[in-house]
Amino acid sequence: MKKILVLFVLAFSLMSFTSNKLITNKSELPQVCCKATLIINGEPGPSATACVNGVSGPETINLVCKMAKNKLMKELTAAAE
Amino acid sequence: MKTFVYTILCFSTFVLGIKGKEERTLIINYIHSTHIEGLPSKTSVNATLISNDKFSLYEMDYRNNQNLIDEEDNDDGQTFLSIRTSSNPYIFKDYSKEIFYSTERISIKPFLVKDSTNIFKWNLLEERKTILNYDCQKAKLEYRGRVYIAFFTTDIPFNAGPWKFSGLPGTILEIKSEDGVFEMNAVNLKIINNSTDISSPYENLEKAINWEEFILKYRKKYDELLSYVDENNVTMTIPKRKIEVLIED
Repeated sequence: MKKILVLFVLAFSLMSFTSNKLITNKSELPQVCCKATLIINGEPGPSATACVNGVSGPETINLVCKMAKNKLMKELTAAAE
Repeated sequence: MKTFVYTILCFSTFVLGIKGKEERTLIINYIHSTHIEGLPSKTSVNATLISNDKFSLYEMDYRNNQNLIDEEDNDDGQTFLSIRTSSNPYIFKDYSKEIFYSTERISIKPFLVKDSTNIFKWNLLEERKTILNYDCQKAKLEYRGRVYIAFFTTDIPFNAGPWKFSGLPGTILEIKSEDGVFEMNAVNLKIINNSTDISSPYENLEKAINWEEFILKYRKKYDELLSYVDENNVTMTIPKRKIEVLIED
């Protein structure tokens, strides 16, 4: 009976630990951001920052940087009109 | 009779002296370099100062800069896009009105801004050095967030300087910020004994706003962007400082 109780306590502790770990991992999902800055005649101009949650890797960085650059290009086009 | 001849001689010398000074034109070529905080690389372009007694014009030649890197990516999730404007930036000084004009930007939008040539409070120092065979004296200046060290010569009879700088009793041949962000170095100069017509590159000078008005507009845009998010969750900012501090911390 004592052994069963000990095993039960151990199993419960393990479950609790794993569950906490999962929750922690969930809150630590990576956020990938990219800041694009426009330089006009050598001086810094506007910057656009794009972010995505939950994925990482070079493809994601490229995608996020493209989003930020596109925003700057939109601003440039609007200013030129 | 002797007095009369002496008077005429003195008057002629005075008139010719004034005329001679008016008809001279100073042309200096500089290397104009900036490496502003947070930007990946230094930008250096050729710049030309043309000055007479009444006006001066400083042109920074970004149009013909072959070394400008259009796009740079950093490993830390930053990317930079460099562009040149359709015409070169100028600083136009009107010495008689003690005003200079420049193009300043809020985000991308340009504004013609006027400012006083008397804003530079120089501190003359003892140190001297020779630049382009001219004896130059050191001077120090605190201006809009940076400390500058200049070397000027009184051997050139113009109170001229590159970019917005002026107010020294001579011509500035070298100036750099102590933090290494901004510098201009004269590479050659000539004085022409002819008058040159220096006219403003800007139309409608009367529409220029002053620096204080410009800063108010800049602050308004900066504050607006703090809460801006577009449909793709992209945020935007404008810098607090460029060469000059635009927003005090």
